[in-house]
Amino acid sequence: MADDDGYGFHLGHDDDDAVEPSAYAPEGEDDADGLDERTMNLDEGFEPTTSAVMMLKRAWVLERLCPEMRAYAASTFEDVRTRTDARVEQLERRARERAESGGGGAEEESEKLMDHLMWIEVNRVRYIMREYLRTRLHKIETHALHVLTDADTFAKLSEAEQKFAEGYIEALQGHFEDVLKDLPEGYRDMMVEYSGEADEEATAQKMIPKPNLDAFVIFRMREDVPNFVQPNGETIELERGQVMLAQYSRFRDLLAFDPPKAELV
Amino acid sequence: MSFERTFKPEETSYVAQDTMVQILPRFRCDRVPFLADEFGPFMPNVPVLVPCWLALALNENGKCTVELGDWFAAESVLATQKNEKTDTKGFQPLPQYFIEQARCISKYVTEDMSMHVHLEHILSLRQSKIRRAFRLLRHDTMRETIEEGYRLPSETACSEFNSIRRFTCAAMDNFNELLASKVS
Repeated sequence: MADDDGYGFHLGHDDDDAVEPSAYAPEGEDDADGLDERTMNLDEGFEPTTSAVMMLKRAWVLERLCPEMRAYAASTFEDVRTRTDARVEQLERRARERAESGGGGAEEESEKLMDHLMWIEVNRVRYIMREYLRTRLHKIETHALHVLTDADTFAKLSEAEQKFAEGYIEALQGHFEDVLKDLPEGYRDMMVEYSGEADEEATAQKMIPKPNLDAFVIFRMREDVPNFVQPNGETIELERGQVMLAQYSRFRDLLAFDPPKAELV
Repeated sequence: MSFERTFKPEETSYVAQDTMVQILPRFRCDRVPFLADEFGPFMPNVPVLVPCWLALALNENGKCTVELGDWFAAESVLATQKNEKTDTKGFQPLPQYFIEQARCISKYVTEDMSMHVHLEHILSLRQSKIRRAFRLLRHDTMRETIEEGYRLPSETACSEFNSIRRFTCAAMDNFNELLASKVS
């Protein structure tokens, strides 16, 4: 169509009788708002945002893209886990009951279909849970020493992750001791760089790989932030939907809000 | 395995499958509480919004037809392609997962690949626009760019972020390091 700029996210052809499950269906008078969110590619326009599963998904995306450890999303994760476990139990029970009762019937057909769909979802959700934890474990391994020595970072881990980090360092230390014991005196410490003579400064300056907070990441603003004060003291005007390729440390504070004022994409 | 702060195409396509799409069900069912949300009720030929993964699974069982938004209609794809070509700077608005969605639809739902060719063309037009924009960055203003951040068009799609992420982020990190060492 000539007057159509190629852009149209109107989902229903018939506005009046289309069923509207919730807010992510921009139509009728909500059009302006919903369309707006879609133009800016904010995910409210596309998917349910409030459920625990979606929050966990977002936590996973953030964790993956973020250079440092984020705080463990304990309540969200537990919520998703209990729900998923309950769902699996329910599905298994229903499958047993069906096997016992035998015979088919239309009712059962549709139940079977729904169970099949629910299994698909359970597998999807399990994937997010796994990926979330594995991404975190990987980060812990990358910066294990930093994680253990920095109290703030250590506090962001779950109990199991803290145990993992300690165990990992123990193993690493054991390994280094095995290898380093054959090196000359002065080269044997895992964390201290050899500097010729044993001076205090070198011991203080340990070789601990740290996450690079100045690494560049891509931010998308989820809200208008007029006069955002950056770490260097300058203020900047940020618009909703704006996408910035910038250093992580620059807009990091915006991620901490609840709901977050920015996200990593 | 090195730890990359980015997403593989398969992961993006997984993420994309939570996007809501409209289906026309071929069965009757009340609202169903899924883990992520409740979806439904499903009535024959009454349009309803469900996530993409659910739509694909239902389609596989012959239980619905999937309708992507108007952006996927033949004429709007062609219009977008045309505008993308004439407008050499700006991006045409498309959903952030448009290419992932188009790919899985053409893979599982329709045999019709004609739109797919146009969408891939749109994708490559957009790619070259992004690259051209980065080429315009100048070394004498690099410090300002690093300090202020570089603004990308908000229409940039998710797969496009992933395709530029590695080289842009790494290049900016390197510039930053070089500039820092120049001062000291």
